[in-house]
Amino acid sequence: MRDTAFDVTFDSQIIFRSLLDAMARPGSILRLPDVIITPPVANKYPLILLMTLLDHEVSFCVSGHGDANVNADRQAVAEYLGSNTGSKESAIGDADFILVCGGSSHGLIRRVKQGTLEYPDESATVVYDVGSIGDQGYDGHDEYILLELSGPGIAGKCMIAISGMEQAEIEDVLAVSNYPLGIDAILSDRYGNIACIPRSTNVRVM
Amino acid sequence: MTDRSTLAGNGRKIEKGYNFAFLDEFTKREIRRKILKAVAIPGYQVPFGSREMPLAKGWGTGGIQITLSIIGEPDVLKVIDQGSDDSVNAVNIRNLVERMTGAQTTADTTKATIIQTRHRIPEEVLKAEQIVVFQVPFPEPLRSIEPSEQVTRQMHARKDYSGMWLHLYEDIVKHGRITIGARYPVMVNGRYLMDPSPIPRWDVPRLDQAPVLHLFCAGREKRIYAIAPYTSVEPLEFEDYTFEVEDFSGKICERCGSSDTFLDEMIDETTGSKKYFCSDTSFCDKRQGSGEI
Amino acid sequence: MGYVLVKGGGEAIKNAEAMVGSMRSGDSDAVTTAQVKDGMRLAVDQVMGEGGLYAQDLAALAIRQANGDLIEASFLIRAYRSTLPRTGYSENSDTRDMFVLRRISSAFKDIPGGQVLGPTIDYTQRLLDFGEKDGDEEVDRELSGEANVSADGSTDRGADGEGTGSAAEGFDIPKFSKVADLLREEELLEDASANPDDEPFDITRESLRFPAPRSACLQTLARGETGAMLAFAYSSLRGYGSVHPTIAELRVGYVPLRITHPYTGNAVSIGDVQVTECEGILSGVGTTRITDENKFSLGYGLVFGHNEKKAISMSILDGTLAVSEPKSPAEDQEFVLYHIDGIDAMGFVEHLKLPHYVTFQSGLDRLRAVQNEVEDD
Repeated sequence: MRDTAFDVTFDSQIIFRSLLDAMARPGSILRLPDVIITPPVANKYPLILLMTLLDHEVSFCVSGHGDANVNADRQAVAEYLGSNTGSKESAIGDADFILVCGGSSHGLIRRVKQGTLEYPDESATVVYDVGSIGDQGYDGHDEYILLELSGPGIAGKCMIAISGMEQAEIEDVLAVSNYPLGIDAILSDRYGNIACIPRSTNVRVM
Repeated sequence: MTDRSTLAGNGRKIEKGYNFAFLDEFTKREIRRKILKAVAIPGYQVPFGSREMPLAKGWGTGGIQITLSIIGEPDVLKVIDQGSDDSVNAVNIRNLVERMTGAQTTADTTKATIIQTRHRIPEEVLKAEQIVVFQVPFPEPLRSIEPSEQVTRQMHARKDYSGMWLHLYEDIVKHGRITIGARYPVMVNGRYLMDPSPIPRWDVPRLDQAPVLHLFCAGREKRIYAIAPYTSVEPLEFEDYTFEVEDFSGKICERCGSSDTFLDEMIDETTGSKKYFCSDTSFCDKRQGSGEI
Repeated sequence: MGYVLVKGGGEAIKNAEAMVGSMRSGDSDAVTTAQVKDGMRLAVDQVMGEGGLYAQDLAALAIRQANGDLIEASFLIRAYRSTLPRTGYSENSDTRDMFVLRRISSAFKDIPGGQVLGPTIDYTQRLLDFGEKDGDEEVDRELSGEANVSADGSTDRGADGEGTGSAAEGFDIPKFSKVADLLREEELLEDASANPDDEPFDITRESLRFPAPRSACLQTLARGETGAMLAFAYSSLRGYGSVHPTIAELRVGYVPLRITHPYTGNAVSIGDVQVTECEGILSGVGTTRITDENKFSLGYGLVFGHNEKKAISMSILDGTLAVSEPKSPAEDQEFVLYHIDGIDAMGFVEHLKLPHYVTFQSGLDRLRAVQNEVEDD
């Protein structure tokens, strides 16, 4: 069912500008404008991002726990994305865009497209549905991982705290990256905050 | 819901019969996806489909595709060619974007959020919120030493830039110095050799650790590349033969008196003597108006 | 007197446009789009082919608007095409279904169905005809009436969604078998390089990469600029290359176009397109060119409208671009494919008219520096 609340022309443009800013300045936390869509998930923001970027010319994969409940969600999310964007699901190793729910892909992220030396851009973009993103771990109740980032887009260094994501997942992402090959990650929390960690960023887990 | 067919959200009229910003949404999405990859791999040329535009190839179709794919209602657009807002081609491009988006336009660099440029970076200090979009004729820095795309792609893959170093060396042996004028090759983020577009050497140092995002697009050659803010951009040079910008020592702008800008050289009709004027015309206007240098 | 900052670019543009109109050399009536379409059909066909859009009225309009500049007209068409949404894909077309106007073979003296000269000036004497000042329209009209063929291959979708038949359906049209098929039956021609179900490369959606697949080469050639392709094909024939074909068959005619109906799922005809097709056996001259499988290979050319020189050039270049060890410019895929697009070439060559004074200043600076150094020595 097509969600008509998403304005393909104007919402896409505004959301994209936030994404561009976030990707150009890794570790910066940007707030997405509210778009009133009703996807079958708790956190709609990762889906807003995917609605902006997906269409029939690229493929996606939804990854998450092996839990039965989440499996049902995964199916519903995939259907939602497919019918709203025309994009097709594919295996995680072929997908251009991957949505990881629950903070971990359980190692599956290691199978994702990293690009080739001739065409490093032919690599996946991974959207992580996380709990919260902050610049120093303000969300005192949840466990969080603290990362120190540096590199293109960052003046000096910056810190970012993420809750709802497993440290092993970050380590897997870093293991996959071998600049210029690698994947580009977008973090999207339930409050509408986003931050990006492209493969060009140096990451230190604190 | 607002009728977006003829009005941009800010109430400005857009051309009837065309999608907002002329390009169809599939085209915009492809370009946006490619821009994100370009930003993630600074200096690397991302291939893209590239559409035919109502402008001839080689006249800014790449720059325009980027601008149209990113521009939105709150944006203010500046378009320059050789530093001038009034150059006929800049006027034409600005008109096209205005017609297709209802965007606000300006000649004032400090007020613009998107600056589309051919062959110059504006003289004024740019702020983090601004995006500079470069029109690029030759995206490949190695093209002058190797005509084949297949071969140059391999060179970038292996980070094999020995051909360019040899070219510079031979230049020095023959002429006593590096004689590359504009399009000076730069190393981005220590990994990719990049063509900064035909900006003069004067502007090259502005790219290094800049606070703004630089986007580059070649419409005819179908490539998008980018330099994220705060990225190292180093012009190629030897220890004993370093990178040199254009020499304007002893010259000042006739209009505003500046001695620290890139100057256009012109012959005075009446006296036959050489005169110099700021290439960045809107900056020159400001300085002339304020009387301050 | 001081330097006056050059402003008023917008007004300069307006005045320039107005001046174009004042360039008419005489006071005859303005030529109409219909006159271009009816009287200059080969120009119309060339523009459709180079613009990559089968639309005769639009091509005629573009030629009129461009004051006869065919590359400019093709650019107008290409730019317009860019604004059109892609609504679907046709079924594979088979030129064996062609309603043939003209069909010749150089490989054999006589072929099943015969050599059909059709509308051609190949055998006329190229003498300027001063007597025919305004064209013999009467005769032309009569002839086209007799042939009872709709020369307008435009698509015509009926209001009920079912397609109208092609011009050829309903007539008892003789079908001509393919000379190439006869050669295939005798195992003299190599196998096809692709299956009908294979997905072709789409040059309008992706940028080329090398080595380019054959479908990408053929697409680029199909909308290549006629003159550029002629030059490269000629170079191969003259010896800058090893490809020299013998034409198995050159056809001009109307091919029906079919789509799958979106609701019924049936194949439905949406009209005809006029095409020129050239199948060239890459047999060689002097040395016979035989593949590793001991067969001849086929060079293929297909263009919109009636454009024989381009279709033949295309079949030659299809052959040169497939050469495994390229030795000449026409055999270099990048060299040919990047440089035969008239719109790209025109745009970039003419962009030299744009101001380049800043880049030139940068170069002047370098020259002066070198000159100074020489003086100092």
